[in-house]
Amino acid sequence: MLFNSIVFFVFLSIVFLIYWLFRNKLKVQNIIVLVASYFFYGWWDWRFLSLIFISSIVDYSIGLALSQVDKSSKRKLLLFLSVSANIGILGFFKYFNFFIDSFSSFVQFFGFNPNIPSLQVILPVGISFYTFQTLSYTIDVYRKQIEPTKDIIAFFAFVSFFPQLVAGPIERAKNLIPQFLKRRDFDISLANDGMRQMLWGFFKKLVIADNCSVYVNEIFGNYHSHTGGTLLLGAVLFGFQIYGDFSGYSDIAIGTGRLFGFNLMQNFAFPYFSRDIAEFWRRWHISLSTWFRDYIYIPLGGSRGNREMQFRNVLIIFLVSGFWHGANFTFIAWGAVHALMFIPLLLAKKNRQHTDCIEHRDILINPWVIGKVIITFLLVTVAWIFFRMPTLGGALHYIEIMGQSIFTKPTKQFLILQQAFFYGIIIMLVFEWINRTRKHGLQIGRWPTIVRWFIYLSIAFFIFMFGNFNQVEFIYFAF
Amino acid sequence: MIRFLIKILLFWLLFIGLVFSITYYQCQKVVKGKQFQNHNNEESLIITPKNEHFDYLILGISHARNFSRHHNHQRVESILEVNMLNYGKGAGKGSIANQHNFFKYFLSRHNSADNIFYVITMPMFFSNIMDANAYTYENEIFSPKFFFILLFGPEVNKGEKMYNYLRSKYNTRWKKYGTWSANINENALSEIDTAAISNGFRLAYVKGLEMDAFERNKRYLIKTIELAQKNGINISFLITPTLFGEWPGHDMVIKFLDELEQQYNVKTYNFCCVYLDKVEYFADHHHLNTPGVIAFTEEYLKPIVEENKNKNQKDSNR
Repeated sequence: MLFNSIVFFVFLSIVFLIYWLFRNKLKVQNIIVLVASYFFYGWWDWRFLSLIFISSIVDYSIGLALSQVDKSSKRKLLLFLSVSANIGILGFFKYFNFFIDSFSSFVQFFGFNPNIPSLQVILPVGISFYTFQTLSYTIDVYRKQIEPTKDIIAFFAFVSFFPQLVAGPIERAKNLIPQFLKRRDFDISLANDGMRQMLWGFFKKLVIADNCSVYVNEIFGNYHSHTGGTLLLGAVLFGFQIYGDFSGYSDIAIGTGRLFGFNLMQNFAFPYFSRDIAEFWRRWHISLSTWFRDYIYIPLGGSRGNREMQFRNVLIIFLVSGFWHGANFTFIAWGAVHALMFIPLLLAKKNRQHTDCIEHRDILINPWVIGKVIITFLLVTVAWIFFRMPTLGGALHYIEIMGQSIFTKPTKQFLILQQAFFYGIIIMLVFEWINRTRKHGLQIGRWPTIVRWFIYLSIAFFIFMFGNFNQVEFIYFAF
Repeated sequence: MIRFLIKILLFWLLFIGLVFSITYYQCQKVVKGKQFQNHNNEESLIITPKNEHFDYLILGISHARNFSRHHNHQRVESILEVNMLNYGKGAGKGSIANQHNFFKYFLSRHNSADNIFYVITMPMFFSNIMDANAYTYENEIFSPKFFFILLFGPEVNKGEKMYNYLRSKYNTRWKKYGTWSANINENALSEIDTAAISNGFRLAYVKGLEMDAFERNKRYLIKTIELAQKNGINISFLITPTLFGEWPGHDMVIKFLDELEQQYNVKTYNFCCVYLDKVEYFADHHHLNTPGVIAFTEEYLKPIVEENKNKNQKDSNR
């Protein structure tokens, strides 16, 4: 079920009302969430509910088993079982053909003809997200950072919680499971802010992302016939498309969670206002980057150890992050490009120089701050080309043409300034700049009522007028 | 909780109010000063008056619309000596559901009619694609009343249709909204082209005879009959001539119409085969051109109208 569909509105309204009818019955509320979540996912393809079920039952059982076992070797075995089951499912559905094809190409390079058949495997929506979510639970239990839950309904609801099931944020058990175990009262300020965040998410998805996609598809699809300026425009628009799409999804997910009394973690903290790549990664897809930090980077040694080790760890984390996005060398290259941009900061020990938001006075005192933001944005934009192109060769060719003909007269005019979504991007940047110290771009609860309502209605009207209602899927559903 | 729900409700009310007012204003600005009549445009809402009486209301798709295109409306009215309103909708935008909705709108504006001629064309029963056309109402003027008729009326793909109905008023095309009419009345075929007929069938029945659509449209047609009879309007079905005789699905529809005659006492006049060799009466293989409309009206419609007049006379004498 897509957030940007009428079916979802009907579904949400019904589940919301039923859920709060049982406000004093925690168990019933959790059952409602669980049933609604399975329904939500099953609407897309009910067959893959079995995968969520298997993932849930495996980690629930292993979690309980871990609490009863003290012997280190047995604990390790249990952890290994959980990781194998989860990564096994993920690996089969997401990476099987990639490895087969890569192996095939590799041996062909040496003159062999292996003729290995590949399978027609459908990628289940959201598999990377819920797999990482359940994995984090088992690892935390193994590390004795959390107690395993005995409440099977709460655990199953935690794994399949419908707002964030298919595209995150990838929640941590220590944040979300306790919320399933304690009584939830309807909090009007939380619900109000949830609605604001949902409205903002729909604005970013329908007005910005889905309209940008029309131009992005045209430019990336026919990049041979465009000149450098247009290709740069295509990459910039893709930057806004993927941000609008993914952060829009996160906003809708977090907002929906709030309607049900849940606080999900922030997934985007205005990443395009970052002053360097390190800051960008603290602000982009936070739930995934912190997951990699906690479960891969730190166990590898993190930033401790000598330079070579630090270098190796950063490279691993970015390559794995790229590979997580998809079974294609373009994603690995995307991760590698980010690693290459990050490592100089690490070597100069400047990777943690921007841990807070830009303040107004910084810009007034030092306009170079704006320059840094623009440079970071352009670097990220170039890296997006690897993310968007279907092949590595294509991405390199795209960048080559872009570099060679950046000042050449365009072969086709796109008249972006005449498109409503261009003004949508400006509105988004203005609101997100104003609210950059907050959790989302429309966190304006303290503004005067009339101004607030004027803004809500204007944004809703803007969505109605200029939104793309063709029910374009969210990009991250493919991951 | 109640406060929250009230706020949500208030937001939607304000939003819908805002959208409706701006859309309404936008529409009125465009149509102001333009004379829309049945013969010079293809839309239904703009020509619907208030508190008026008509002898005949015509429903159907393009084959019904042909009775009004390019001053045919005046010709037919003059031959039959009646006044009529034609809701027939061509260009793939007509359906049994939308004819029902237009009829409801007609009644909601306190109009009345003595008779309905419902021009039956077989494809309108069997095509899911035609029923789901999201752009059905894009050229109709915005009316909040009609919006609510749509909301509660029968329709396939209702959400998209309603959305496009509203949003189309902001398209640049809408700014040029004016009188128009499909230009087919002056053409005359010189010969029957069987390849063109087959091609026409493929276009009209993209997926063949879709029985789920047939069942659904049967229900919608019954709703229209019941609404007409509830308002004291005599309804009869007309099957207009073609050069190929019967459309695919003809027998199934005729059987259904026979059942309706038994159940609701509604008559069907089947003229599908009366002009099989009169190519000069046709703009294509199933649309009458102006000479065809005139001849058909004089030869076949006039006797029915006379019969209805006599029947009404007898009823009023009683």
